[in-house]
Amino acid sequence: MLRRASLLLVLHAVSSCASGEPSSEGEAEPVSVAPIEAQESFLGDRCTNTYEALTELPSLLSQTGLYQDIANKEIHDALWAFIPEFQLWSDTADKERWIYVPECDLIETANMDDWSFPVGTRFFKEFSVDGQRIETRLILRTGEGAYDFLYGTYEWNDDESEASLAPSAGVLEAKGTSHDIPSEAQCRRCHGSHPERGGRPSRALGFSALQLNHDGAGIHLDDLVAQGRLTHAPESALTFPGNEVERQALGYLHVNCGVCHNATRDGVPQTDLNLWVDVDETAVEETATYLTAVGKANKIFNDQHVSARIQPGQPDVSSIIYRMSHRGNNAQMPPLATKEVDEAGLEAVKAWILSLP
Amino acid sequence: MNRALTLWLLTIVFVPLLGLSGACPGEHASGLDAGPAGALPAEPFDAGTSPNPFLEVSGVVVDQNNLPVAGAWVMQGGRAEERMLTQEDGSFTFVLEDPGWGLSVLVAAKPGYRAVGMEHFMPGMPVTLTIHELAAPDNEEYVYEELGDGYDIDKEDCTHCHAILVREFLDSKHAQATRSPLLQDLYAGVNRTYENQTRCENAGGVWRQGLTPGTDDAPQNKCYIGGGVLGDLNGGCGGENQSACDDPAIGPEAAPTVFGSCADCHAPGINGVAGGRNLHEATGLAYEKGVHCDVCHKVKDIDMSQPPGVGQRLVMGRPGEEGFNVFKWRPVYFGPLIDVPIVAMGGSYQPKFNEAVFCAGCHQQEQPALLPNESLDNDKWPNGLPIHATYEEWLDGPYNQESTACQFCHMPERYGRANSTDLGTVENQSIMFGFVREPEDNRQHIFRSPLHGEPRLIDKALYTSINLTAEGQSLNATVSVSNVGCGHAVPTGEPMRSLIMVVEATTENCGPLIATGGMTLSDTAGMLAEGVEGTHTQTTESTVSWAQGAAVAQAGLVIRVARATGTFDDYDGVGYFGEAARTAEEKGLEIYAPVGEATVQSVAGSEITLSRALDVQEGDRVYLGEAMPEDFQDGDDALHLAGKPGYAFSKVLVDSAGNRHVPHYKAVDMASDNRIPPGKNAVTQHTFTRPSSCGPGTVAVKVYYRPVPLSLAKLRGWDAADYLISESNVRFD
Repeated sequence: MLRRASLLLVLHAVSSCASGEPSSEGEAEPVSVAPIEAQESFLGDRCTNTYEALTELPSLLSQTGLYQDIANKEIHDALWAFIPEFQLWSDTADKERWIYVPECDLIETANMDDWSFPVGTRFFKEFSVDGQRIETRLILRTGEGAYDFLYGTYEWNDDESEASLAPSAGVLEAKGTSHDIPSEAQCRRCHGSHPERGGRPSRALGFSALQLNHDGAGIHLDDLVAQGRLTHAPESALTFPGNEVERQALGYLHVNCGVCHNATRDGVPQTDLNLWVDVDETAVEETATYLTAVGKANKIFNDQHVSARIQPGQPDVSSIIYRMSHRGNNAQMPPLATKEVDEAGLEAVKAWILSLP
Repeated sequence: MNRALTLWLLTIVFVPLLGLSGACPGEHASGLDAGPAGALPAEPFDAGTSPNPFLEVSGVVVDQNNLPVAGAWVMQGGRAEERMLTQEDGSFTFVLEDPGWGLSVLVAAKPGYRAVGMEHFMPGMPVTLTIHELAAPDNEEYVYEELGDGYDIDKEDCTHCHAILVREFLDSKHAQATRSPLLQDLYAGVNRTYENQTRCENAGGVWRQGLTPGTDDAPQNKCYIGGGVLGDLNGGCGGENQSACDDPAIGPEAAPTVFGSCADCHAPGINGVAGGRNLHEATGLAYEKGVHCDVCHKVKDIDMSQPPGVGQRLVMGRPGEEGFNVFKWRPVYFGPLIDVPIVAMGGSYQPKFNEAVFCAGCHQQEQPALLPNESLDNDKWPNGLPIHATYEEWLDGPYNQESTACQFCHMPERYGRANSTDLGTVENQSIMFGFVREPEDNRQHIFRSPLHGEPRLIDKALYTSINLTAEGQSLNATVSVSNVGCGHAVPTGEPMRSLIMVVEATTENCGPLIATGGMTLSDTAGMLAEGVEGTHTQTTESTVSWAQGAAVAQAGLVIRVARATGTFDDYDGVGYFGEAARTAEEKGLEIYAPVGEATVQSVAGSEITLSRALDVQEGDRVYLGEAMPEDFQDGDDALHLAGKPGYAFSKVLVDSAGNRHVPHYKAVDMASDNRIPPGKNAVTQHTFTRPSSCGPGTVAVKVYYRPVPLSLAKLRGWDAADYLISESNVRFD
């Protein structure tokens, strides 16, 4: 977390990073980023956080600060709606997302690939199936530590007037749908803090520089820069590399696979597969996705139907396609939070593999 | 007494009296090594709450003889990654940081010594940190400490501070390592289900007096049957007209002297001499709690040049230095963290605790021939027979990296707790309450085993697929079973474990199809009787003349017939069988094709009448077993399935007489080992004939984990179950 009062000190430190000296964030290397020089004017001399940091999950969704008027589904003004350019497949569920970042704090963005959000930040994601609200998930940052996050989800009542904190074990086939409300352990499996690993240090997987740089609805990267909510702004336009076929595939793999298959401490360690696109990966052939998957032998998953992680031109023998095509067994990828194959996503990745020489 | 209060009192009263903050008893009455001559500041500087967040501390690290220690690590507790070495004269200058919460603790440590810490300073005053060397050899007079029950926190045992860890351990297989009935029965050579002399003798056993396991000398009449470790390894007992080897009344001239090294890993906590002990010497803590806290954390080092087990590969470091106050010996507990300075623990750094090689102390075992007057083929097994090779399986596989050592799966990281103590928090981090640890330094002590958890650990191990093609009336199924989730072979460990894969084809209008080609389950899958056509059996149409089979056959059982193909399975094996130079023949698994299966209708004398004729040829293998019901469920009693279409995966140990699937103490050779290595897959072929009148259907593959072989289970009276761990189905039109 970076309090505004510390801004000048931090800017001083950041300038040393830009000159090539070690960053205070350890592994963070501020590639393509530059310190924001004059944020004070945006925040003003005084500010007040709408919400204090929570230390435990409220029992009702109406107590979380998401809704200003839950009866009329009016979102609180202090929150930003956002839509990642590429979205995690959640079967056929519709999703809406909001974030509350304490107004007096900045998002630490020295590492443009892993933003660090201030204590008190709240992430919300609401799931609806066939127009019916099922659950609204909440991630709270409760402290400065890498694992100081709480994960909960709220199951809506039948008339959608309120949602209650779901049991930590989750709910199978919630509200008579095929949608499962995840357990707390499953939340951690994707967002971090799980013994089997998975996730990224930021814990927020879709609210990132690459994912917010688009023309769609919700808050954008440019808005955050303009509002002075980032400690560092990108020096160049950030986007997934490649032509449209390549972008669609890399973006899909980034959000659906890279949240676990990445090189951070939270990434799954048993394989060197890295499907997360970093902001400095501006050429397809330089992406970790390309380097660790294309033409690479399977390290662990050696089934009779596959010959490589990605076999150029041959999606049918590429294990990434094979695993994306399976559900309900140990071939399934992602291994949780989906029961149906994402045909559109599958086609996007197949198209890229077919285009590979 | 409330535990928090107890610990607080320990901190302010008991600890100084005991010298628990690192001082030498008698050196400083307060227990604080805070500078020369024991001079203590009237108002100790508290770096954690001081307005000054930094404190430069200079001093010297000395040993118990007050001699400077060069090359000792000096660090701040909880931040050991930023540490420095002392100079030749033991001196150092270190800058402590404000940890934000709790106390800034200066720690000195060195492998082979006990770490010491200090958390109150007078700015500018030099300090002396005294680390006590583990100078004495492993102390056979040491008595292992109790761990408690995981709940009663008022006793001075492991539970007092680590109740959660103790509870985890008590539910683990490590806690059962000594008292396991399978181990005890095999060791003594008994079947405990034969509870009286009549039943015992009717089963072919001998009713004798022996030892009640876990006791010093309590006699118990038991049924001795089928040999056993003690009886087979020792000539003076266990034989005909001899006393049982574990008879408490046995004379010294007949008492066993060879123990098969069982206790070295299964009962490492026997007090006294480390290693080479009789398993029956395990009583009390050693028997009840197996590989318990104190014995594991007394492992000073791992010496892979030595045989496995305590006192050998597990180099023990039971303290021999004089203790103080309530401690007879100066405490020491070895562990993976360098900065554990609480003197009641005597934390001593041994990084191997976080490495796979630590587990190799027992989970890697090569043995000589153990039975008297027997030997191994030294050309084939120059390092001994690899009875357990879990460590090598890991070394040779894709999980061989620091972050995915054994501990990654079997001692999972812990999130949500500051450290391994029950009361340690971010706010109170200190010598007494410990420091905030990373999850990989704060592992669960569940020693997760294959059937542990929901889903079970082994449920994630395999992936099975079917590639189905049709050619005329033939359905050809190629089955792949991949080890996709396990860092060692599946199965591993105890060589009795196996995988039993059943392949079936069924049509909607004709029911099960007959397998006419491909592969079958070997004797690993078990049989009630086994014969060779022309040698043991004579089959004519639907009648089998088979004395051995008829003796145990009854209506409802099945006869399965398999035929040698002359082709050997060139599988991806483990160890010797995985070496590139190995030919398929050397890998030892000839493929037997299915001939047929028929139900026993009746038995008369040595004649068995079947439900249908079987086309049996001379040399075919004939198995008697049970039918596999359609509703067979995960966890049901294991069935004898040899000869059924499918395949078995196991390590097959052989004794000097050529008997297969023998307990490892009898083994002198290994016929095959087709267990599935990590990252590898096994491929099998299966052909079914579908008459033209039969319509659409399904080919189904089910892979079962069988922890205990049926033959041994039957001999010993153990339960044996099959656990469904992977399956696959493919429809055909």
